[in-house]
Order: sequence, then structure tokens, then C-alpha cells
Amino acid sequence: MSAFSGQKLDEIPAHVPPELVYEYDNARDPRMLEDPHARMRSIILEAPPIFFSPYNGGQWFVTRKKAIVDITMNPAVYSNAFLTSGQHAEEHAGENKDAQQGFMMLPIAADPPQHTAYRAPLNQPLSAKSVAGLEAAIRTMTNELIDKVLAAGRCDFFSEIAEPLPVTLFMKLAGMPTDRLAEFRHLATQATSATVDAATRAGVFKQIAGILAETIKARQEKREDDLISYLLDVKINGRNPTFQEMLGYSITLFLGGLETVVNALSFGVRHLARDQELQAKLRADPSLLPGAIEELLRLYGIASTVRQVMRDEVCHGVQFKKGDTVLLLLPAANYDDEAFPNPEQFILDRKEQHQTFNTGPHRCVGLNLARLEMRVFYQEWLKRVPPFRLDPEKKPQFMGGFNLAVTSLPLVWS
Amino acid sequence: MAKIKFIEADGKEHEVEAQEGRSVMQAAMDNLVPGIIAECGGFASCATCHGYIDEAWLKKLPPPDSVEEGMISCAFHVRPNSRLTCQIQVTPALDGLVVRLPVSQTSE
Repeated sequence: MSAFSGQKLDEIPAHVPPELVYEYDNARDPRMLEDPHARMRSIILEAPPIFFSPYNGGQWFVTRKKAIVDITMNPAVYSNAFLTSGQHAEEHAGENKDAQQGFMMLPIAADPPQHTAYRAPLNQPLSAKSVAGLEAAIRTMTNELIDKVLAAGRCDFFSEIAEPLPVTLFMKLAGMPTDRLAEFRHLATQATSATVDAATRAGVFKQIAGILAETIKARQEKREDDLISYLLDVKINGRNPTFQEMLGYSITLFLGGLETVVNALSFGVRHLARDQELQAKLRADPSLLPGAIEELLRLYGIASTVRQVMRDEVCHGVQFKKGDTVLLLLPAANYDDEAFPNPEQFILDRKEQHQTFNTGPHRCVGLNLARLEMRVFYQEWLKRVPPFRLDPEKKPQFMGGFNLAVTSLPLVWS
Repeated sequence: MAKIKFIEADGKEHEVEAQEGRSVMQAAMDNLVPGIIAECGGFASCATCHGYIDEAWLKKLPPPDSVEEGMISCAFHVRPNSRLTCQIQVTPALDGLVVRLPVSQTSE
């Protein structure tokens, strides 16, 4: 199968049993667009645990936590090495385009042992201890954004708060000129938009890569106190990263911290807007926020990820063939009854680890930063904004693809 | 097999039967020992499986590689005898190992 070629297969591959076919288009499914996570739960209830969908070039979907954990802990059989940002762009567009010369996103597009060498330098600067140093900056940024909307008594949370926060934070973390914020935000929006055509998106990626390249070159001349400077001097198998590798890192860091956090914040705020009791509870006792954030991350997973099967393999009773593409539907796994009793309920302090950050060697390297961003954001938002609810006149809008996303979240408060 | 004793910061002890071929971290997780989080699942990526190994035992273990050393510096409450338990493989020679756990894996 040609992964994410964008076209629906005319014929189901011979090795796929008919009873395992379930027609789910993860970019366009109408029920998903109506309410993405209700759709994830319905997939657990309606579809086989591992099913094949003929849409978008045809791929397997794995929806149960145990199977996903087993797959991600087995990179020798389930490989990442085919991923490039060009292919990500195509899948997001859902259109059939010629394979683009994509950038090898690092460390995502590597398998162990190369992956281990690429991943190691990121673990330290993104450890809990290291990102704690960003807390003050996140708080300042959050408050600047709240300042702009508070008096109005309403906002589109997505475009006015959720979107700018991670972009601004990334630029600070990476060490990019904040006077180019507006330009970068615009590019970031286009890079991740579902309505932009694939050719435009490829152009946007090139522009983003161009800006990142400028910063890398500037730091090569003079180091500053930022992540790009730090990465220039790390050792990968005994030598410093090449320019291409620096680009690979930078694009991953940029995209990784962008679509994901934007949407995690948006879905979380939407939940609170619909649950005044929980909102009040958290406002009254912010010490509950870390547990609440984990449960919101479980209920509203964002990213799914993909593996390529490297040899014929039976996975939880299903025969995969070498070359098959397997999509790990992480947001659905969070509604797996076997892993999470009463999965549709918000239960503070669940013990079980959710699948939103995935498992295995590729487990999200930014999770400490994500948690910190969310904790600081909610502390300030709940402190300063009165009880808020969804705008009854304007419904939230959603989008699919590799990531479940919000595109609009109108809120009102008194 | 090896008997390993985990001692939490408050003194509570947990003695487990650790399986050869698993890591010390896995022995703790398999036996639901509190005080180890193992966020990354054993890939020396998160420093939340951190434990203190008694001096006498430290000498018997292979020393940490550079990846582990780098990650130990990201842990909280680091001491000279700090190790990442996901990087220590269980062998019969570890029978009787004592691992003390820090007061927190995630904060000061």
C-alpha cells in the first residue's frame, strides 16, 4: 500500500479478511468532524480492535492500548524510518500528490539504534527540571494574551489564545527573533491547515525551513542561551549535528509543540466550558490541576502516529504483511474499556497512564513542556477569567487528519 | 531470580522477586512498588526511575554509560550513588540488592 496517497483503494488487499474492513476516513469522516472524541469512542464500540480502512491509500488502524503498547515497544518490526515532513503534509491535505522531497524530521523518522543517538540530546533540555526554567515566561505570555480578550467578555479561544501561546513559546525556546512573531504565526497556521492545498503547504514548509535555517546559521556564528545553540554543540555518535540534522530537529520541535498543545488546550477549555461544576472545583483548588490536566489529555488525545511493518507479523490475532502501514489511533485507545474503566467519565486521579503521549522510544519528548504550559495556562486563565461557557450562537469547529484538532472555539463570559 | 528490597523515602520496605533479564525498574513496576514512575518505559529518556544504590552494590554494577549519566543530571534529589534503575539488568549476582528511593521523582 502506498501510505497516505490520499486516494481510496479500489480493492482491499488480498491478505485483509473482509470482516476486518471498516470504512473510516480519518481526515473527512462526518461523525469525527461533528465531535472527534465521541467518534473515537464509537470506533471502540463499533469497529474491530484492529481494522483496515481503504481510505487515503489504505492502512490498518490499531485502537486498543495493549496492542499499541506492544507495537511501539517493538521498533524492529514496526518502523518509523519512512516518515518525512513532506508525507505528513500530504496526509494532512488528504490529496494525492507526488512524493515531495521532505525533510527527515528528527528524531521521529529514525529507528533505534540511530533513533537513540538522535533522541538523547533532546531529553536533557526538555526534562522536567530543565523546562521548569520557562515557567515565568509562560506565565507572562499567558497573561499578555488574556489581557487582550478579558474585557470583551468573549473570544475565539483557538485563534486568540491557544494558537499564539505555543508559537510564541517555541520562538523563545528556540531563540528566534520575536519581532517576526506575526509572520511565523501565519506560516504555522498555514502549515497545519486542512484547507490549504498540498502545493501551498509544501511551499509553507520550505519557508518555515528557510526561517529556521537563518536562525541556525546565526547561532552557528554566535551561540545564545537557547535550544538551537544547545543542539549545535551536542554529540551524535561522537560528532556535532550536520546542518540538515539541525533542520530536522528544528522542524520537529516546531511542529511537535504546535498543533498538539494548541489543540490540547482548546479541547480542554471546551470541556471546562461545558462543565461548570468542574470549572468551579478547579478554580477553588488549583492544586487539582495536574491530575485534571492528565484526565483532559486522556479524554482529548490529539496525535496519532504511524508505523511501517518490516516483516510479515501477527499482531493480536491479525496478519500484517511486510510493507503494511499501521496507524496507531492513540485518541481512541484512551477510550479502551479494558485499559480505562468507565472511559467516557472524567475521573480525577486515575491511576492508568493514558496513551496521548504514546509509548516506546518515541514517547513524546515534549511532554514535560506540554504539562507545564497547560498547568501555568489554566492557573492564570481560571484565576482571571470569570466562569466561561461556549458561545451559544457559534458552535466549535473541528478538523481531522493525523491530529484531532479544533479550528474555532468561541467562548463567552460575564 | 534475585531478591531486591526497595525502601521508600519514608522507610517503607518492599521486597520483590526480580526476574533475570528484566531491569530493576521493571522489577519495581511488575510488583507495584510505589516511588518509581518510569514515565518513558525504560529508554533512559526521563530520569523518573531514579534510585540510590548502596556503595557496596555500586561497585558490583557496570558503571553508567554517558546517556545514563546525562539523564541522572536531570533527575531530582540526585546523590553520588544515584542510578537510573531502568539501566540496571537483574542477574543472580544482584540477590540481596537494596535500592532506596528519592522523596520525589518529579519535583524538588
